[in-house]
Amino acid sequence: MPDNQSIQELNNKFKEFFLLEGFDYIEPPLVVSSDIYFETSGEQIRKDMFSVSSAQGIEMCLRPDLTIPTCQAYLQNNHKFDQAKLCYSGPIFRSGNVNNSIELNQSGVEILNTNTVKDSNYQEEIEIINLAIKTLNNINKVNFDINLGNVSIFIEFLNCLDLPQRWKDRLRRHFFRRDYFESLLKRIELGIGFNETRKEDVLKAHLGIKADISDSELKELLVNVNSIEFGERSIEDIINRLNIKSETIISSEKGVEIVRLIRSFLSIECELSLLPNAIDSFSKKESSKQFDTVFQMASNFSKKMKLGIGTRDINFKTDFGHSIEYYDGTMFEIEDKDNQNNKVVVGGRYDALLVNLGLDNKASAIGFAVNNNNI
Amino acid sequence: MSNNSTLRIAFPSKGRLRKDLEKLLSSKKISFIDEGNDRNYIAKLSSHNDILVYFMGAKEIVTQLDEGNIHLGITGDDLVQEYMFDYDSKVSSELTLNFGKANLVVAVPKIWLDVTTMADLDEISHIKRMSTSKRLKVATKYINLTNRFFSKCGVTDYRTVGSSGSTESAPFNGMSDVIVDITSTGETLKANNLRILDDGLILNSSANIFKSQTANWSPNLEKICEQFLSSVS
Repeated sequence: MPDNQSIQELNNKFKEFFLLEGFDYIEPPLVVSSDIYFETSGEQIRKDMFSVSSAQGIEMCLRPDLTIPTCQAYLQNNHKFDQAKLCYSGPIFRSGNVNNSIELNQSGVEILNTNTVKDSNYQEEIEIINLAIKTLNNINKVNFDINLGNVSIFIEFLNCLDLPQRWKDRLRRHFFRRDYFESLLKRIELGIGFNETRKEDVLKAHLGIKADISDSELKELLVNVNSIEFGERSIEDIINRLNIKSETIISSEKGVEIVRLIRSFLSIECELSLLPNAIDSFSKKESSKQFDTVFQMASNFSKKMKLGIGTRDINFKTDFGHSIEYYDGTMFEIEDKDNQNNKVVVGGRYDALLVNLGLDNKASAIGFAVNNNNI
Repeated sequence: MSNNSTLRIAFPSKGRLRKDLEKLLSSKKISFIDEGNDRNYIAKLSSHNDILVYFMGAKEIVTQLDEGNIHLGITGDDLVQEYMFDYDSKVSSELTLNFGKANLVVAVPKIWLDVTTMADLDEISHIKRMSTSKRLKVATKYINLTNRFFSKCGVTDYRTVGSSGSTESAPFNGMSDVIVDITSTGETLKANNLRILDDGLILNSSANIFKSQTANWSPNLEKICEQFLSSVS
């Protein structure tokens, strides 16, 4: 790991490089509201953060990354803009564990665009990956691997499956939490849905009634049972969801087959130019045309990205993802082959995050960060 | 407190835990000597001359085990796992006692007929966040255990709301949507129109004799410890 002085020199060097590339430098605050991190990654990120409550009860933290504070700082002062090309360079703070409390340093860029949303030509993806390569070349790093993923291709694959929509949403949402994602697959294998026997059990156990009761009768009964307030869910919401659960049943046999398909799809790993062949082989093996749209999307992605990035080998993995939830399209990382395959760059698309940060309209957002401590 | 020939043990100073512990000691023909009165916080055991007993709150025992100021402490799993960071490396459970039993559980309003599992909770919390930008509120005294369990179950769209008492009433006074709380029989939850989720058991807790791994141990103290443990087991 570089010493403090080298880190500062790297921070400055990257900053100057990004400025020359036409980016505006942002110096976001060191201490930021914790809320957005809980919003995007859930409470479990707390253990990785230095978060404290102020006397007023507002929870603040030392910034655990720079993408969110950079975008926040820019959006606070610029409510309307067409395009912003922002860069940053400085420390982030991750608590890790007691013996390994560390200050890390990152330098990176973010391109925010309110004129264009994610396009099928992947122009911004190409621009950002090429800039990441150029950034490393600028410090004489040339021997590295690029790993690439695209969660949109997985979502398209999910859309082709004969699964209830709420389960597709669930798998998509938890794609980044691999342990839990695995437990969801195991649940699907057991069969899902709230069958009539189960519904009957619940109604009998909790209300002492039979399942063949109409919605209006059930509503009336629930109103009588519960005459006082009980949180923000309405009785209609409860009955509707009870009915939806009863309608979306997947047998264990079918569940096992669906999970086998998902696992098989997520094992696809190849050089990017071979991705269409890999998806085609997958479809043929499964004797199915239901994945035609996945093939089309993957082919387009592979072709456009290869054209834009050039002859360099790029490893594509269908299950490639990051632990941070906000990436919602193409994701990539660069590993330093001269230095134990350390991850030196991590980046990707995060359009939805901008809306979470308070932007009114849809926008395109993409960026990357160099982990200066790994250089 | 640096005497290498005296084993320091912390006992709960009041409440049910202390009464149950006294019953156990009495059944093993062990009594306190030099105890003085109820306000005395140090005593000796009739059976072990080389043991000093300190009476303190169950939560304080966790802190003292963590800091290594005591060798053994009798307290609940729930408190150790909630209040001691990295507890696995700092204490070991030497003996699980047959009292202080309670379950830490996730409970929802009984009327939520569609919510029977943590996966349901995940789904409705996400629906709530998408439709109202608000997160599901979870009232609890056990914030760390709640966060670990919810994280394991993939539930992220929630916020914990600190609760210092009568957690069971939180969903009905607008303070929270659901609760995480300790229950022995489940009767209080039922009486408050709450229902435990099918897979909502976070921890099956009981009183334990914990050994501090951060305290100073000598071969002699290890021997006294073994003798004490065999006399109460």
